[in-house]
Amino acid sequence: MINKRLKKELNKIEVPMYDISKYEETIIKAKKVKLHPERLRMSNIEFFYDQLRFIKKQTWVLKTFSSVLILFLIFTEQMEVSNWIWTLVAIAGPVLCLINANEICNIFQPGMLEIQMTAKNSFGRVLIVRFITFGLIDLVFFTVMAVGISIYKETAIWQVILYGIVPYVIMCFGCMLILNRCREQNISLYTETWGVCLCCVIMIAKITDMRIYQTAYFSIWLCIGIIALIGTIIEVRKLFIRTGGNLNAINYGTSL
Amino acid sequence: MQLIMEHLSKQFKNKIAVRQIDAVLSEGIYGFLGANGAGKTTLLQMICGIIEPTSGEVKVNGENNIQMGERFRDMLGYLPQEFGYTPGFTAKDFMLYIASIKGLEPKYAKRKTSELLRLVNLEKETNSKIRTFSGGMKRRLGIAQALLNDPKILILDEPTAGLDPKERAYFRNIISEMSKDKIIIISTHIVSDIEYISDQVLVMKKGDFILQGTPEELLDKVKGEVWSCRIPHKKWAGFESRYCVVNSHVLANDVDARIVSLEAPIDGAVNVEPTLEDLYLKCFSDEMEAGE
Repeated sequence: MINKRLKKELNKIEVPMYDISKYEETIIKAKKVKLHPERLRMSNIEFFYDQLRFIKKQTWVLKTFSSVLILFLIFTEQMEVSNWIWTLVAIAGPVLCLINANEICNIFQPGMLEIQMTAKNSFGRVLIVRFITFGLIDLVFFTVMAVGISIYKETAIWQVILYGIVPYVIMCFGCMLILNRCREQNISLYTETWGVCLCCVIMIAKITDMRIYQTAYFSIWLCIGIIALIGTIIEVRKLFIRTGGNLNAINYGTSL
Repeated sequence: MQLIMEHLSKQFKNKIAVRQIDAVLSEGIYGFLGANGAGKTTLLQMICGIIEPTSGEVKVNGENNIQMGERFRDMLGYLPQEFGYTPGFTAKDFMLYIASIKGLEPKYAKRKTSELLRLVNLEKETNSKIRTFSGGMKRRLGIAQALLNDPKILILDEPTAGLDPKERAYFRNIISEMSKDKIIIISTHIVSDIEYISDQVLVMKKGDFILQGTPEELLDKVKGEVWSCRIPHKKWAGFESRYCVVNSHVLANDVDARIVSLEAPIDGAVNVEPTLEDLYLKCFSDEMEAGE
């Protein structure tokens, strides 16, 4: 009797038709449920974007301001190409690189390096995020500057690239040497000093009328650029080895 | 889980910091006790993979820690002796930054950050700049960052440096509560930090473990050697150089002293229950004499 009533009641319930898409939808939704968020880790791309928010706003503002100011001075200046334009182009690199170096120095704090070296994402990765980000932004700046100057001032594009990039690479080389050889608490001061010195050298060359932007000096610029580039590559490699763990010497906080 | 140290040594030029250490650690709290310069930090840095051993290796469940790379670092929480931070960071910024390099998902990182800052009593200082923090607050923040990824191996180098007694007691309770399924290594020269919470105490001297065992086993080694006595002022002068004096309290007529000695240092001396501090001082009394 009870079974009959139960059967009758059950027959009243409308069972929807089997839908394979709903089944798939359930599986997809189930996969999205994070039962153990503590076990989940970011992918490399997520890590890259996540790191960007830790670059100080001040750095972004300073980079934007410097880039716009340099471009503004170059494009609005009615000076002849032979005058201050090349000096401005040459100074742009060290200035931008100095801003980058200051940001990178922030993560090279004594005692913080060790924590970063023991984290899942190696310190090398943290550095790569910054190198790629700043490198791409500076590349865009140099491209805009090179194309702009070559169009508006009617100069050869490779000249702008050479005079812009070589001081930039020299600045990078110096900063890498400092990062690899100096104690963490001093690197910020040293990189600033190096940047200011390099800018001063470029300025002095102009003031004392050294004609370093003449065609005769192209090969020297190129040689210096290549040497600085090789040096930078070697130093970057050393930096990654140094910060990737397994140091042969302790940097800080040891009992020795 | 097992953390194995096999013939682990580290030499800096002509100085041997760690010599041929062998140890097998499984889940529990381990106290590395030793004087300054005993090699504790060097050993911890080798375990963490920060520095490379001159010889030997560290293994986790039979696998070399360096070769494990990311997998090893993902199960590691480390508080260095000297804790640093990026200038301008608030406590929250710092925690989120460390969570990011530990690979935690941003949403979870936020939740965990709030939870841990509450745990270390820094929730009111979440948005304060770290440079305004006291030494104890910085240390507590350091402890919190080490716990972000719920580490299976937690290594704390001098975790209580700068903490007041109340904070020390609180810290001990936190560590004790979270020790389940974890290998926790606490390196310190402050005996009370590990006396009651350690499952094993490893006493380190000149780069080697000279003693190893549970606190009870170690206390047995000085049982019957600790004396409480009153020494007249006239006799006290020679006592400090002849005996290992743990405590002394100068009174009107004599000195109330606690002494570690194989024999009663004076008639009327009373044998008392030993503590790990007595053992520590016995082990390092020669270094203290050399220092003097």
